[in-house]
Amino acid sequence: MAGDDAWMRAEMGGTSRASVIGKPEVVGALLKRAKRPLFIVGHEVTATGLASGPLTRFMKAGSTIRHIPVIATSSTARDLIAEGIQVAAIMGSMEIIDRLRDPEWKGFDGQGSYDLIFLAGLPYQFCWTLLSGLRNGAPALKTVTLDPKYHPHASWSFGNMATGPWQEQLQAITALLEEKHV
Amino acid sequence: MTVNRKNVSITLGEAKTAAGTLRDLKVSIGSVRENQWNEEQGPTPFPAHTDLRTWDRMLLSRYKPLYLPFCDLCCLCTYGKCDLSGGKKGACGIRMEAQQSRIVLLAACIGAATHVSHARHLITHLIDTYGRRKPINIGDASIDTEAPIIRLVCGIKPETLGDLKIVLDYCERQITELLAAAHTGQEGDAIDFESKVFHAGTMDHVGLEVADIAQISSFSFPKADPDASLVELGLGTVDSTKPVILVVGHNVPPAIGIIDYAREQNLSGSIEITGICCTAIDLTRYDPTARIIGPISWQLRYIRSGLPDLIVVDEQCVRADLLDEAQKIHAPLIATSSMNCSGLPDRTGDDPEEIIADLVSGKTPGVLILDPEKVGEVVVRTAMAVMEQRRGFRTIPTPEELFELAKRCSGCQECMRVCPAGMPLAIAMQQAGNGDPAALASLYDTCIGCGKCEDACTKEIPVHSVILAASDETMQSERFNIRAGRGAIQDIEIREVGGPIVLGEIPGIIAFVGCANYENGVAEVAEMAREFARRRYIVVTSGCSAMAIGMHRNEDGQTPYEEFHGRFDAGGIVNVGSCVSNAHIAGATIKIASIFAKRKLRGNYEEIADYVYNRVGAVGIAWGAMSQKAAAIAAGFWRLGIPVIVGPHGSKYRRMLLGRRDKPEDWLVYDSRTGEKVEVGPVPEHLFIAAETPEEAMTLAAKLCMRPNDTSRGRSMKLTNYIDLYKRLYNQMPDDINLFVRSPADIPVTMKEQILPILEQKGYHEHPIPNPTLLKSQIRTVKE
Repeated sequence: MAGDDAWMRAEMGGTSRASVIGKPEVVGALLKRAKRPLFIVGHEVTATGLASGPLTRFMKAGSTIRHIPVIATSSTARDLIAEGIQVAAIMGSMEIIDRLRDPEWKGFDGQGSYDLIFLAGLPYQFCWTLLSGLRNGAPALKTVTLDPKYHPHASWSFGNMATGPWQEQLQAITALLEEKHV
Repeated sequence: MTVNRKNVSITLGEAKTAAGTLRDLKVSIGSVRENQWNEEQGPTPFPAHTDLRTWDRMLLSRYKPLYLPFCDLCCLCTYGKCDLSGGKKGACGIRMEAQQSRIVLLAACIGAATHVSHARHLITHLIDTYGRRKPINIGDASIDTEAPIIRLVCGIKPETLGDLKIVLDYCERQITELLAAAHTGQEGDAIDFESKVFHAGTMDHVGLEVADIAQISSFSFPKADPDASLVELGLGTVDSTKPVILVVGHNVPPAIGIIDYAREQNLSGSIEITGICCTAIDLTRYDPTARIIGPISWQLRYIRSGLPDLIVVDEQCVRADLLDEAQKIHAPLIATSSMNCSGLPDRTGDDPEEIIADLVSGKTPGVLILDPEKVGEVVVRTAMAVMEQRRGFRTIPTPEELFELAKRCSGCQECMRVCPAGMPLAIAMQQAGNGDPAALASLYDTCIGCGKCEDACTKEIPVHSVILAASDETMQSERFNIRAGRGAIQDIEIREVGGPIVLGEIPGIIAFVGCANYENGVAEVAEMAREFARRRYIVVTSGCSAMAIGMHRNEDGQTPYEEFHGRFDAGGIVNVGSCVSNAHIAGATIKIASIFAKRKLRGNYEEIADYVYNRVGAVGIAWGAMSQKAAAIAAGFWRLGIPVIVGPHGSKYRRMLLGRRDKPEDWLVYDSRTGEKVEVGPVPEHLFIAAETPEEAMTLAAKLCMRPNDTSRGRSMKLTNYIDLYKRLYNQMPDDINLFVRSPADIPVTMKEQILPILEQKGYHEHPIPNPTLLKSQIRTVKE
């Protein structure tokens, strides 16, 4: 399976494509440069049983070490809280995207706009359109998808990956956070 | 706006003749008789798009479009292709926002054109059959306002089928103009495109109403009957000992031709007439003994089951490959509409004996017949003749074949990469190959029956058929029911619920509409409908959503139509009928303004829409919508100020209309009593939004039912439902309650202890409850 084809075969509408996260240091570097990163987490994180895995641990590390706010969409909040993750806000994903494209929006904490968005656990085609909205409506914003499916509309995306290698990547990124405080 | 009302219309102020003096003489030939309705004409009869542009822009300044482009390119003209990403303009000067809204306009025009052309087909046929003077009667004495949308938009009161032709002339002209605006070098402003989308939606609603009131008046459909019969639904209801006929589509006259022929020949009990999609719904409005198989997504599974002996297609929602599928089970296919000729020879003018002989012998796999009566004879006789020779042909593998086919799976996952429902097909297939088909069988309820997995399979496994093989027993045992489409809402029902709705004491009207491309099967829609009916909302539904609601039983074995009543009242589940019956849902909200509130209806769009927007807590949920028709229907609701929620697939409409609750300045209305501007909070917060899960959609719907006009008692009830659903979903209180509580009286009594601390924390302050309007024209003169 090619790593950088859109997971859904027909979803190929862009003139530019996401860079594939080839190694954990890429995310480390993005985190290092980011001043105001944000997690947006959809309901599939728990619906597919991924929550107890490395993805949740990465989010947990991000929110505790780097104080990255975790925004939950739909029923995600209840499950994330059960996993010990502090949820900064609950909001529908369309509403979040609408605010992120507004240069005057001051963020969930009133401290200013965000510069790096991590997305995970959203239905693929739904996420595809959200990313397209951000790419066109907020071109300065960097977006990173954390699911093991390639998203061409993101700035950075994992390729289409099997579960094992994907989990290893996430564990390595978490280690960068925990050990090197990127 | 000048409307060609056909033929001749002469008005003489004063004419002196040898016989005397004539004053105010009006002579109309072939046009609507306007003296039947003495209500004063409003400001916008037969409006052009620009006549309602101010209203549109008022809504669009509050609900700004969020664009989610499907494609960075514009490929519509030969200047391009043009890359519009990153703020770049096309060769014609167009920007991405305008291009996206242009595509939305094209979709809405396709949808509106489809409904209007369907209405035209019906009217032409019905006038040919019953004459242009056939009276419009959709509810005998229970309905006085027979065509609320037409009265509102066109400013006329249609009385006969002939009157409806003029309405269609107007719609066709408007849709042509809207389409023309999408040509290169015409409209370039995104908001003006959006306003045109709204206009396409209005034309769509007019077309829907024409179609349904014409067919209700002409056929013996239920006439606004809350107790319309329960009819059978599901593949397991088919009596396969008889010749089985399948009709697919939306335009019912050919199917009625079949029933009428069978009745004339005393064959009604000897054949089985079954349907898929809206033709099926309308078929059961005509003959409650006909069977509905299921929504649009049941086409492949039913045909592959081998049950249908003959397939009839009319228009809309018909799979493009049905002729191929029909041939695989040796069932002849008869196309009956110019919209879908299926590549078949036109045999309309031929002797039925010759056509039947050719179909039975297999000389031709199908024919095109454009005469519904001839369709009736050919279909019934052919089905009876081919039944024996073709039975036994089905394309669903046997259990042994299933195992062999599944063993071929290499796990490449190409099937999963085309599956709209995101099903774990490869995993389930490999388990089946190892002898356990349970996972494959469990996919049956989620599968939308598109069949894309089969084309993608590198091992030539007929994936969809293999799923059906694994779930054959489930499929064959589908036996449900649905209340036949009742048509319009009675005037008396409107009078009874108008007050409670406008004051907020019935917490809302929730309409489940649209197609069946659901993320997780029909159960989601049924469960949502049940939830709102239990909470004493009025649930209305139509088309494939109405079927989906029926395909689910509670713990007592009841379908929602058995569990809940069919009246337009709190706690009802009201099936209005097919897609074109959606007109009655919009019509009911208009009738609340007209009948309950006694607002002038005639050509008075802005005032009525302003009333509906500020007072009638109605929300549409198109959970699986996917078609251009659904886009047009939604657009008609938006212009009336009625929010629409779509499922995750609805994000592919590529544009949302979202309000911002964090901007209080966006939520000001006039108090019509004083002319003062008053902050009313984000009610309703959005006009068009996609939700990720049914739980999110339900929470949103409860919230979007709030309106500025709610009384404290009504707001309290609406808040109770919103908070209760929110807590169930998120396990905590919503953080925006302060935006909806205008005074302590709004706070639900049982939730005071939880809500008051939140209000204190948020710095809550009281707001007056105005007599709300967005229109300066509605401000009354302040009395001295």
